Amino acid sequence: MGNNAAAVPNDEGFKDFHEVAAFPDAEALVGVTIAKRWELVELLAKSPQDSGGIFGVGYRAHDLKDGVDRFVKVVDYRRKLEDPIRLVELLQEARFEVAAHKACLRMTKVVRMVDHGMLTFRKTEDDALYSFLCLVQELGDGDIKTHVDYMPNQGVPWKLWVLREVALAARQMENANLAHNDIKPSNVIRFESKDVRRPVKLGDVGRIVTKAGGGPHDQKEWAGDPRHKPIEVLYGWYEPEWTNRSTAADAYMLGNLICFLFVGASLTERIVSSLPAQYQPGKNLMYRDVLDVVRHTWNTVLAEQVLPNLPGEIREKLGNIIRWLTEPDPVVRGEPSARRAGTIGLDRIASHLERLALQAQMQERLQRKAS
Amino acid sequence: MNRLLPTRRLIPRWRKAKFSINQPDMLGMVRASTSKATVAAPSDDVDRELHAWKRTGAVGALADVLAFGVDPQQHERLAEAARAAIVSEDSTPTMRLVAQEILESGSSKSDVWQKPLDARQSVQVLRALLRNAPDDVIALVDLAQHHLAHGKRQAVERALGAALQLSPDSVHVIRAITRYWVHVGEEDKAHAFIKRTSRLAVDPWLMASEIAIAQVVRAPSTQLKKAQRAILSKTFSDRNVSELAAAVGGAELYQGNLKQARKLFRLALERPNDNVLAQAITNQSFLGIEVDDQVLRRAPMGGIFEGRSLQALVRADFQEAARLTGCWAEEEPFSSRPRTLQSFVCGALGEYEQSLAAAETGLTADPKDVSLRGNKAYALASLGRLKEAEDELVLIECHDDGSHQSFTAATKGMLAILRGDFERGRFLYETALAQFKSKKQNEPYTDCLAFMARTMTLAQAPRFEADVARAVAHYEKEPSQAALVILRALAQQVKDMSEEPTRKTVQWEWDVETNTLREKRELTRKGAPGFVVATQTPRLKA
Repeated sequence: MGNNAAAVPNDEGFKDFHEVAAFPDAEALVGVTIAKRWELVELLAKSPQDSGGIFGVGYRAHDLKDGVDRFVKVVDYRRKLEDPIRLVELLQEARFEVAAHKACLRMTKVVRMVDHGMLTFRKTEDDALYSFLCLVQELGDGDIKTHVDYMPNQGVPWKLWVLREVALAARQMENANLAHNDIKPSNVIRFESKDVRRPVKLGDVGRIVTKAGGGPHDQKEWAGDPRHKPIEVLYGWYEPEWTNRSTAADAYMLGNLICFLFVGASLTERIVSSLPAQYQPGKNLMYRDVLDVVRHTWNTVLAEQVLPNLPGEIREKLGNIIRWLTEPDPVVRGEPSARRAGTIGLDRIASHLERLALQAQMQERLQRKAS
Repeated sequence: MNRLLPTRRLIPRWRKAKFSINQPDMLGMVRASTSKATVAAPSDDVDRELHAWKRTGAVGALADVLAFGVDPQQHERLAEAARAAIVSEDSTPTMRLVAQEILESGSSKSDVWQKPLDARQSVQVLRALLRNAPDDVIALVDLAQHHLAHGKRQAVERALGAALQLSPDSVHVIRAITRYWVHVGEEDKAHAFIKRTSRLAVDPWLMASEIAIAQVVRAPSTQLKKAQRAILSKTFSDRNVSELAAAVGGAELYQGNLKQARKLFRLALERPNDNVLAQAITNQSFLGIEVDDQVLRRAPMGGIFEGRSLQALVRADFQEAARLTGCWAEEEPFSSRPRTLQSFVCGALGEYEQSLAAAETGLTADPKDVSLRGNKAYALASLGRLKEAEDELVLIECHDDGSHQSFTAATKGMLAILRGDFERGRFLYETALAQFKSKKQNEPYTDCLAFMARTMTLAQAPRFEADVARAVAHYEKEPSQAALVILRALAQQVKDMSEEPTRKTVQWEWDVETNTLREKRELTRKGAPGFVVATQTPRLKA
């Protein structure tokens, strides 16, 4: 593999050419330096920062300029050449992911893209070209799934800070008229920090939806992983108003994340499995017609399976937050007083979570002192 | 002892949610969505998450894998993770519950809808649910039912009013309110209420209720003609048309159009709910349609206790009827109807403690029910608590509008006999029998003779053998199920005479030539067998 011949950064991102004797696989790029700056040093095993959106291969890269390690996602879209329709979709999604990252550049609670561009290999013998799309992002320390534990009353402040950060990330997106719509444990990325209060950022913006309506996912029915989707989405319910449809979905997924962190289960899974078979999603039922049954199931599941597993001191307050966020009717979902003013109130939720986190931190310190 | 129940109409049933949930009338006609949304999880995603869990061994990764349990198609692939979650010390109780459900794919361990609770626990649970989510309409309606079982009308109206505000188009709520007004004897209000509901014209379950209640209040139905047209043009699916067809059938029966009524009930029994089954069994003598196990099996599981109780009663299986009426009473705790039957059946069986308990529970819900009080008096007298029985009879005389005079006279006769005053006892029994005869109440007449024979036998009254012989002789002319049970208990050889030939809704036909079995879904002639061999029609020669 030859040295990089040129690195041309512009609005479209860098364009980096390498002379090679044979095209390498996307999984065999360790040692390559992209745009004279990022040296790919380790292939990440199906990286947690790569669990959704457009699928690619993840690498840990060393930034030769500032010495910081980065995450590089290499997308080998040419592999899809045999399926032209999927190829076009993939290219659109890739372009959109880049655009989405650009839109989120100023968001402090969302994983940032450092640069992007094309990594192109040129065969020396016949000048044939083979390109990979590269997205250079902040490198996290894995997702929260590897960090969470369910021992009673363990890591309560950390969990609450995580939730507060995710709530703020969703709020930042809401401010930019965007919604993440894919908040789930594998998209909450941890960053090395001694401060328990700044532990995570929200990653994978490939599936965001926009209020303006220009994104590839704006009019689409949600496809893929059903585990963390809001209940109304599983029934194919399309709420006409954007906030009630998209920001409310983010709110639900935040509520679901609370259940995951404290109970070890997805509320969506619990509700669907507890519904009578004839009213479960996938039976072409109008969501509004089965809402009463869904609400009773949701209420019972919360009362019997979720709330008893929350830490005693914060059970009531955290239980209320879960209720507000996972309310089955997206039109009334959210913090009640904010709802009366017409918003979901993610900022208020973040404040509630922060207060609870501080309270839990204080209690933990007192307990440590006492022991 | 009596089982005089008000004439059964097809008024909407109001069961607890756990019984209603499997019945099609719970939500009425649910509109179909055009969306293709499913809970199917892409296999690649499952593989990736399973790989991540195996690589890290983290309990968080395991919890995330178990969340794929939302898609039943994936349960087999999740079995390894589920087993790991069950044995892992790091798992939460909810994770173990999810894992168990995955391993026993298809059966929910959480029992959100089927939790067996007694009334007190059930109220506690409902109150807790409503504290957490005051807009849980189903919990509100269930709580209203508990209030009604304790006669708290104000609380019932408050709860049902709140439910209606929250979910004004809910068929479950509308039918519960309608049933409530009928239950408290304000049928006009029920009719006026259901006529006002916006969903009436589009929902067959509400149309059926309106037709049935219009019949009760003897007012013209606003929906009858529309319903007849809808049935003719097959506007609604079989699942949704059942109760509507039975309601229209009931109206035809009321007009004396037996043939048309029979046709409509046959349609209703294609996919019946419990209400339709019970109505068909009640009208069996007019319609002559046999509601056998094959028909009962077509109804959704659970909540068919009324139909099964009535069926057990018809075939004189009182042990089973006693058990089933108990289940039926649990379904509708506010209704005195199942308790009346239960106390009667237990009384006929000689299980007086159970009979007394059933009557007392029923009286909590409806203290003015004279039939129940009569059964209570009978049970008390049989248990030797003669003074208390007498007090009950005094109360009955205060409330009675005259329709229960003969039953009261019979119970008084029993009391006199148990006190040793045989002549007065016999006189009172004869008075009761004369009243039954003058009112042409044949079945109560036969029952009364059997009860009298039992009392005389137990008291070893003079000429008690003659009383028994008289009861047997009359039973053979005018059979009744209760008399059959009592006389058999008195060691009499009596035949079950109550079986009349009926029509079947399904007949199986075996074609010998092609060796095929065909299900014929049409009304047969009376007494037709369930299985026939097809007869070949002779071919015309060219």
